[in-house]
Amino acid sequence: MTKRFIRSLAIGVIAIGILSSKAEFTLDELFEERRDSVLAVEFFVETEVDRRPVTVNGMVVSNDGVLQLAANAIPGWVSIDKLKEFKVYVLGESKAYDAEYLGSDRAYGWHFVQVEEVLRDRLKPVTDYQLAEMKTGQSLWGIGVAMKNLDFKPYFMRAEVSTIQLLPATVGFATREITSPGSILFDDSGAFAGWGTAPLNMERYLTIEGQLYQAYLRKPDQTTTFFVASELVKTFGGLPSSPDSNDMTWLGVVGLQTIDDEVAELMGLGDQAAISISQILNDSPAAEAGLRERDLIISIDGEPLKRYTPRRVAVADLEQQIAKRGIGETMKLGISRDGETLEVEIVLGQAPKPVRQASRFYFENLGFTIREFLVYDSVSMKLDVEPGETPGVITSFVKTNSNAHTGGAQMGDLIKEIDGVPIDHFDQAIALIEELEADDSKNEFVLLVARGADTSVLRIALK
Amino acid sequence: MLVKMLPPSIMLKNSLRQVGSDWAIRIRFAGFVWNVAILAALVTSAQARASFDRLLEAVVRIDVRETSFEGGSSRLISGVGSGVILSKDGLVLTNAHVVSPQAVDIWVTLASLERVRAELLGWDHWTDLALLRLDMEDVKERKLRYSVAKFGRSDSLKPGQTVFAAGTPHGLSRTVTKGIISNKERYYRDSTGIRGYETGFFNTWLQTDAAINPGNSGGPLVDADGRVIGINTRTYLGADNLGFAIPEKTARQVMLALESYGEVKRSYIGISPGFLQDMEAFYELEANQGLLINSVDPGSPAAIAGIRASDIVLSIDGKHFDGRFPEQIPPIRNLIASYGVGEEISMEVKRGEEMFSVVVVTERLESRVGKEWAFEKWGLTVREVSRTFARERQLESDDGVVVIGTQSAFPAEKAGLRRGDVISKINQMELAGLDDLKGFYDAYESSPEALLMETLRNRTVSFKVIKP
Repeated sequence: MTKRFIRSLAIGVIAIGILSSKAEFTLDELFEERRDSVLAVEFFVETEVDRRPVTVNGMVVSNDGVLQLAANAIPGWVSIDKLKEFKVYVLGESKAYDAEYLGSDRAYGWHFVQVEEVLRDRLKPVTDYQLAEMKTGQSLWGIGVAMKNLDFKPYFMRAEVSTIQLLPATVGFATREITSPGSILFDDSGAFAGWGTAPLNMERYLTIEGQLYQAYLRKPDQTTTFFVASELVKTFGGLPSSPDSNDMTWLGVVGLQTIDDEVAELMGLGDQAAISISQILNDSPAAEAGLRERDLIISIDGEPLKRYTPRRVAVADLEQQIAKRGIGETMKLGISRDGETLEVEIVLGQAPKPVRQASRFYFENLGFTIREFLVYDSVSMKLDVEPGETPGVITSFVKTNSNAHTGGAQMGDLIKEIDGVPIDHFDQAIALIEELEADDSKNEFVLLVARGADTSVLRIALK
Repeated sequence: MLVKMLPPSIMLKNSLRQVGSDWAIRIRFAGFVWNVAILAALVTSAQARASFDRLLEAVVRIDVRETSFEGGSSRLISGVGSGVILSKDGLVLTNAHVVSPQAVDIWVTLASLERVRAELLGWDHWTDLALLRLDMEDVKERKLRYSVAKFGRSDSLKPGQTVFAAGTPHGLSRTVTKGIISNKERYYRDSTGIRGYETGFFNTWLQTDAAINPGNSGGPLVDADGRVIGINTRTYLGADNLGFAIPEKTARQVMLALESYGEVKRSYIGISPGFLQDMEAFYELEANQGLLINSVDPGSPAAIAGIRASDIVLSIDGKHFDGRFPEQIPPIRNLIASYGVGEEISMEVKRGEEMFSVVVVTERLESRVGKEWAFEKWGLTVREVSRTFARERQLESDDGVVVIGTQSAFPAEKAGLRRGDVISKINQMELAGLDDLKGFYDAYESSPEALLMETLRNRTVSFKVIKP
């Protein structure tokens, strides 16, 4: 009863808002004001041998000049200290302002950048706007952002709401391109409607000289999909304490798969959605709580898993629910195991160190970088590593035509031995190679590396 | 020299005439000695011609129809290759990639253009050889005639020596191409080279620039006298005149084994050698000695005996060898393979400063390709997971079967099975291998009921339902 009342009240308020704002502002006035809620962000990703510029769009989410960027705006493997020279541009202007990278939201992966103070007053946070009510067929307009050589000039775009899906975030699909990735869109009253996501791949057929090709095309600077603002704003505010903090929680399970309806039926689950667990990592919260491989997760904290379309969205939902919780918080999973149902309480632990935080060391003369071995490596390399055991270090970069390259080193190699000495520690590996480099009597050294199921002995010249 | 350079059939008349005219002028000056030499040359060249003709009469075309399990059902596919008759009692040597154990019928077309059936006595994908026997009853009944080719000696070949590749590509008539021996011991191995089977681990190859066409496969590589010094196997597509042949020495041994046992028995210890190539100094080895161990298969006899990657094997049962270069590796592998299954091999091993001996107990060598089968009603073809395949894919065990094909709109495809999925369980019961699956299939055939399959792909477990 109260719910319905509040909803009708809210609709009423929005309706009044639409009417009144329509009366007050024209579209070009709205556009002129709202273009200051989006900025172009430029930064460099530094690698061992070059620096690559990246430009993305960010929306202003607070009065103190914090911009929110998409989760994929920054590659996940790049360590924080390799992200250089953050700059922002007001749309349509060529002056660059300094900015600082603040880190990312642990649950949703959004990245945050804060702009320098002189610019802050000019900006309009999206939180200042009313939220648009989303209806199928509704006409929306968005701010497109041009390329850098056009000074990131903003331009007007328009499309209608085609459909809205739970994936598990509430995502809107427009009838055609409606904004740029990372930029924003509104309804005709100027209420905040959405935030542009990465564009979808569009399946197309190409005929070139009579030959038919299937191709997936995607515009780099325009998108048809967006996060629906009314739900998106609920996720705001997940600023990390520092860019390099690791407060990610984890369960320690790998290979989560939703099961087909038919499988669920055959397993006696009826139309209950379920997620199967392929692998449970040693020493993980899941292992400690007694979860087993092949267990089926059917509920979280007593709530049955939602049956999404497509079904596999349930996995993303579970992962997000884990990520939203803090380290040490508990999670109750309803499990179906051998036809029986049980509930397992799990204390979420701190996730192992992510790749971006791994220690790395570049040997400039030899032309390769080693990186410390992570729990994730044992998963991707299918190694059965005991807790606390380090089977070596990872080759994370090999420079073309360097001694390492000529000697046959490849990115992703697991270095098990250096010159006959088994490696069980990152610092030990650095010390060994530095010692070899300093030894004038040595012309070369030998690496034992593992690649897939096989190992190889590589000879690397020192000079 | 003249004889050695003699080209085949069509050129013969010309060359004789040339000998007659050009050389006649010189003879006057050179006198008697030259006369004898020329005479001898003419006689030998005529003999050579005769033996070359005999060789061509021994070259056959082979038409094969065989079962293929690709694509979710068993179907018959046909192929063509060449072969050479090497005994009066109808033994024909050809390539393993021409005739495999999945052959349903094999037809041999003789030089006389008569067709006769043949049966497969055995094959050996490791050396790309297969041995057939003509249907001798039929041969006798129809009084079919053919000639028998003779082996030469591949060991005595010299790089640069003229050779001829004979075969029946694209038709019935014999085709001969000419080239030289480019290399006597080319190293080439491919772990999926013969329809997914391994090849080239235990032998080196003759490399020739004589053009080898696809239908030439299985035909003989011969010297100017028409003696078989190799069996043509493959050519590098896109490269100019890079043809490979199995040397006579290997072919003769394999042929003998195939005739006697239908297979070549080999042993396995689970090491992958590397090339020591200039690493002797690093390993403080005596010059030109030792075998570098690049990789040891987990759980293999070598692993059990304690051999580790980057060890150096100094000797095998007291025998020293040189494993510096790629082409030196296959003979060493072959030496190990030639031990009996379950036999002990003692090896002297060097690890850093340390030297020690180990005893390795051999196992039977297996291919990575397991037995294949089609489950027609499911539209599913599978292959048994072999030990090697399990290791390659880093699977936890060699139980189960791997999907090699599904037919569209059949139950397996509808259930979401894809090539490469390993079926590990059915109705929650472990699947040991193909026979288990056949059991479930039989039950399904008599009363079709939904079946729950558990599959693995990259260690990710999925569940699939096969529905009638």
